Amino acid sequence: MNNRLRVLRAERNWSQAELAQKLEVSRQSVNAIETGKYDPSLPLAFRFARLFELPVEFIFSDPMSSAGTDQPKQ
Amino acid sequence: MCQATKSPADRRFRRHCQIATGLSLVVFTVCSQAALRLHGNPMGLVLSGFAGAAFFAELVSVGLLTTRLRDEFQRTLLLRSFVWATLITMGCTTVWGFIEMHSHGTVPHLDVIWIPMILLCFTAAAKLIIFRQYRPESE
Repeated sequence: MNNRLRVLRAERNWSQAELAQKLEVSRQSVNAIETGKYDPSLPLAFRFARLFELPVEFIFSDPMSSAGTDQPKQ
Repeated sequence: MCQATKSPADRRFRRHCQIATGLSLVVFTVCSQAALRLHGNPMGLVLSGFAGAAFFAELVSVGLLTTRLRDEFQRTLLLRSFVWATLITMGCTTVWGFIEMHSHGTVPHLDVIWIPMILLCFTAAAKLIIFRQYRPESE
């Protein structure tokens, strides 16, 4: 699963540790998700979406799907 | 052994489990060794019960840790460590059992009471290896 966590985090100037603290997970978890070593469960993906105030499909995308979501729908 | 979780609840719960593991290990070692020396004595039977209960408490603590940990990635890594440790312990003790059966006393006998200790050692080793694989790089 592809994700835009690194970009979204950089836009907000958050470190991995800060993001981990906001989500109440370890920095190890944020790093594993960001680097694609671990795919989060749906509840955790929704927590990311709530935190970034973006749709889940904008943050996480299916690498097999050709049509990527480039802009979040308003 | 692994990256500390940022959630205070997880950190507190993990500390409780570490204390429970330490206490269980001490009670298990003291009671099992004392029971071995009190062979044939009813007190030995009671101490054996305590040793078994201590290890049972350790297993309950591990079960609670894996079900109540909020951080799903840490939970996945913990479960992976326990599964690997259990498989390796089962494999090693089974092979050793067959070797003992066909060696006619040429290899040392492994008492069943040492299997929990072997499981704990393999769990610690598996945790070390698995958590190290996912050590976050510096930003």
